[in-house]
Amino acid sequence: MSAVEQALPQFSSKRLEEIKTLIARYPHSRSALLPVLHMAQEDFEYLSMDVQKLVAKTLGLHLMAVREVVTFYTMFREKPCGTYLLEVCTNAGCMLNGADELVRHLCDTLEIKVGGTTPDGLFTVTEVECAGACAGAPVVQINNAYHEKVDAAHMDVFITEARGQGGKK
Amino acid sequence: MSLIKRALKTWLLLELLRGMALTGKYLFKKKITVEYPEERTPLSPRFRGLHALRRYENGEERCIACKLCEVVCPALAILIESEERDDGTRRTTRYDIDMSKCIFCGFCQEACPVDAIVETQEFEYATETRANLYYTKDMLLDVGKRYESQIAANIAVDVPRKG
Amino acid sequence: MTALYINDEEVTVTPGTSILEACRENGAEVPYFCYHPELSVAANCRMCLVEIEGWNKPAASCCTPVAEGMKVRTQTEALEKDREMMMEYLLIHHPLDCPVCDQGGACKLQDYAVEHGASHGRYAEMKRAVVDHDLGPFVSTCMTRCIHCTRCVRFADEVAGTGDMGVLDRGDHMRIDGIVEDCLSSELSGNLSDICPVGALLDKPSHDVSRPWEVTRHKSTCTQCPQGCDITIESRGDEVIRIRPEKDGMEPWICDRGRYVYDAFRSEQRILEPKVRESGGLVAASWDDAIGRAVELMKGKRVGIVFSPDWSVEGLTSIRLLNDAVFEGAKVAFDLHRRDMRSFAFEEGLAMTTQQIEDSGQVVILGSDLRQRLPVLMQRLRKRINAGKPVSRIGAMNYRTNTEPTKDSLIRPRDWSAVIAFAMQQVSGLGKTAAGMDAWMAGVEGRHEAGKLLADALMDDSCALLVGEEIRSHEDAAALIYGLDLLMRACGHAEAGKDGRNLISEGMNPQLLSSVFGDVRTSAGELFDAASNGELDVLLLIGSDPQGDGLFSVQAKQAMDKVPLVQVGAISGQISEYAEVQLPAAAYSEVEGSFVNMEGRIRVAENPLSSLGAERPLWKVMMRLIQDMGGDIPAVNLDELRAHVIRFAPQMEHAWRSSDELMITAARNNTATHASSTKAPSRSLDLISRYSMYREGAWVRASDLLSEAGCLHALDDVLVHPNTLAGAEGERVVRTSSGEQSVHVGSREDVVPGVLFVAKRGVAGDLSSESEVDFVGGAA
Repeated sequence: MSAVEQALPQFSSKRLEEIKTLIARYPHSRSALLPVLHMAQEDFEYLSMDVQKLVAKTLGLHLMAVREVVTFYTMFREKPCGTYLLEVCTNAGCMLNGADELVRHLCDTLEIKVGGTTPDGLFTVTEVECAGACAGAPVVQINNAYHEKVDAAHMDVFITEARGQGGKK
Repeated sequence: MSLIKRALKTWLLLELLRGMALTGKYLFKKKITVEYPEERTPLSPRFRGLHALRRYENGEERCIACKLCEVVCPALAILIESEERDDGTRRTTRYDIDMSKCIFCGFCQEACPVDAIVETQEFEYATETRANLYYTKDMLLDVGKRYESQIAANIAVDVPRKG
Repeated sequence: MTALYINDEEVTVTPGTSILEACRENGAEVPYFCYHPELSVAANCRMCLVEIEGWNKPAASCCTPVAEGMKVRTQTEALEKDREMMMEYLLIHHPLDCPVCDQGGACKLQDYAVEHGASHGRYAEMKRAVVDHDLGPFVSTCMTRCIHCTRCVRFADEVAGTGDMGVLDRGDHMRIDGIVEDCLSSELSGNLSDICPVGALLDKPSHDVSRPWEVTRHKSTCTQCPQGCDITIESRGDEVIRIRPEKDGMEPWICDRGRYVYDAFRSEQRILEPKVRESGGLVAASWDDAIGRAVELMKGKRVGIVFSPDWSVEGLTSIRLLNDAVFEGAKVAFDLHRRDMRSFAFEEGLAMTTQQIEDSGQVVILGSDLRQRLPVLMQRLRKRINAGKPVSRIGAMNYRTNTEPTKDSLIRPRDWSAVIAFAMQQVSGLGKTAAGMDAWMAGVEGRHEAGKLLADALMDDSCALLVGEEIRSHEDAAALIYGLDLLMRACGHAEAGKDGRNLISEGMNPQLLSSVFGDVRTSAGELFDAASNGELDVLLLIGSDPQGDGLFSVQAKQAMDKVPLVQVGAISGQISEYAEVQLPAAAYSEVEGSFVNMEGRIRVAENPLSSLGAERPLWKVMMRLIQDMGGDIPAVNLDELRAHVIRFAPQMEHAWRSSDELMITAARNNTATHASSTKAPSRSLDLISRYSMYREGAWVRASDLLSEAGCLHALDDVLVHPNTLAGAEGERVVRTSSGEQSVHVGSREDVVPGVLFVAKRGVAGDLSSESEVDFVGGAA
């Protein structure tokens, strides 16, 4: 049992402090789940089962309660993703403005499927629900930046530039 | 007068001749007798005879042990036991019909959701003992094997009528 | 009270009731899937829509509380339309496989589809399919059939407390999933198949075997633990298909032990015909021959009778009649877990009903693994803890409860008197005392901090004490119980109506046993010792299995090696290798009889299953024995036998005449005073025999299903705290009063240091006869 616990990833002590203040803000520790999951994703890049167990243990929740939230929201990732996460909105507005073709173009160019990562670990393409920027449809969210009114050419330029930088953001 | 009439009738064998004439008429008329077993009457595709259990073309039993036929049977002639087969499907381990109880109402084939239990047009299965009228699953499947082409044809004919 | 109108009829309900509950109470039909009276409200199936006058939309009745003067309509054209659309929506992804689904015929979805659904589906696109999971030996899944009512998720969170079911993903991808290693960790997992309104979660052992319309239902009482739940046995012919909690019974749930024990009814272990030993083996014989052999063995001999407390009231009384008629003065024992036979200040059985325990101000569990022992009572306490009411616990192990007790204290069994003395000191400091308390306190040297927890709880207006096996099986149990009795009396928790002195019994019928056998019983250990010392000539074991159960397996083995054994029972068990004669007695599901549970609730079973072989109800076997032993038969039918029951236990008088809920109370021996013990412990480690619900009891061991679950849930046979072990887990030599023994020892953090927990199986099983041991040296 103890061997398994040692293998679990750990939060840094600074992070634990932050989590503690966060929990204190709410009547139940469960309420701090979303922000803590964001922190965990920041620290560990993605929410592996071990990280989810760590979050559950930190907040005193059942693992299932954490898994429910992680799988519900698309912004939480259970698998590692590339340096550049290309999230293409495919809801109504973007769809009408060519999001589907954009996704197909990205997948063809990068030779991956939706949800997949290029072998060099640079790009991951996913579809997401409404990004809330319908005025700029179609929208691609690359890491934390919105790229609005994009087309295939725009993405090609971006991909070439990103490859040129050799994976550094 | 009447005496003479009677004597003539008697001595000229008139009644006999009349009878012979009738016989003679039928002797040359087209026959309607079906000479069973050399000859047979046609049967409706809905004829309710001996039961059969069917298989799919790939050899898999159709019966899924839903037991609807067992529960609908008014004569309580059907007995089914089931279990989960190794591949996870629901199958019968026992499917018996007691033909001596069966009243050939056809409810079982009505109830069957997969057309597994059907009544064939076979009615010549008389046996020497009552015990031989107790059909087990293997016997019923065997009946199905023998009559599959007939059963399939009858169902095909019946489908448009059922709508 | 709130008055409202349901379909123009005025009804009154308690304020805060939901409309759905109000409708159910008043017989107005409202369809629903996700609502369950024992679970929280989720309101996600939207099937229970009703119209309320003045509201512009239909309301989900399960989550709308009633209001004064509300006008509710449950049957309107608009609602029918809504329900039809809801059904269409729910059926979009539901497979059309009713003929192969076990739920078919007893399925809410099926019923409502007929009642409220459209005759045609309009959905022509691809249906979705969901991957099934393996949830262990009791629950099988077909998740494609799931309609996401989340009853199972709420059950796992709120009732089982394990939280291992959940909803993953969302929208079209939504699915129910479980985090399961080998099997569901809950001891109540069998209930999942009952609460699932569709065929997604099904009963695995009876999967694909029967149809709901084929089964005959028999009301009965489960005797697998003293809770004595009301059960419905569903059978097809003489085959038991499954056991369920009785609808409208006292408890909405039953545990897996009581539910899945049924495969023992038809196991190879059943004794179905009389047998006698001939040239080394047991061979079938006629009743006459077998009884003749038994009489030959017992006539004019000194007999020791050991029986199981789980027989029906009538069966138990007939054992007493046998004793009186032909074995006057014989040694009689039934409790294989009680070392101290002095009379207890409060005898076995609860003073309160489980409902009263749930409602009382404070609950203190003293040394009991309630989740294993009484899973259904534990579930009630869990409900109570989740509602924020206190439950504290003192015990030798942090027994898993699937929820955190409010206060928890770990102590060693040798410290019990110090704990009680500390509590006495505290309460007497607050001016509460009882005659004899000072003397008792003075007799104890040490004081243990954990007593504070007990004293604090006693200060409440009402306090339920649940005294468990750690105290009851203690060598000094009578003194400890007397100490607790003094405490309870001092704090005013002993008066009628407020009595909170509950001693959890080992088996069924505790109150009846103390009144029927109070004057003749001895300790089982003493009885076996007498047999080994040549003071007894023959043992008569009636349903009891001292080899597999209890604290006297070593003594029992010695005794049975020495004297011949006559076995009467339903399950042969390990002791059958010693039996000279086996007489089959009918199982609890196969007799017409009465049972008394730990609360004292009397329950009469009337339509039993037909028996499988030549077995007879126990009382008939006993009467036959009396007759052939040359005694006068005291009863020839149940009515006469019941007259004898009333003679021993006058409280049973109305049991067979009234259909009301009848209670009998546990015995109180207010004259029993036992000074606290001053005996110093002789060895360094205390030993506790650990109870496992999947292994204890002859019935359970005969069940393959429960044995499988037992393997999946098993911990190490011998457990200690890592500090006590001081080294790696592995083989260690243990010194006992009877010598040295090498056993495999595992460690766990939640055990109190200085205590050895022993499971009653394998090589370690023999250790359970001990109460104190030492480790010898390091690793063997």
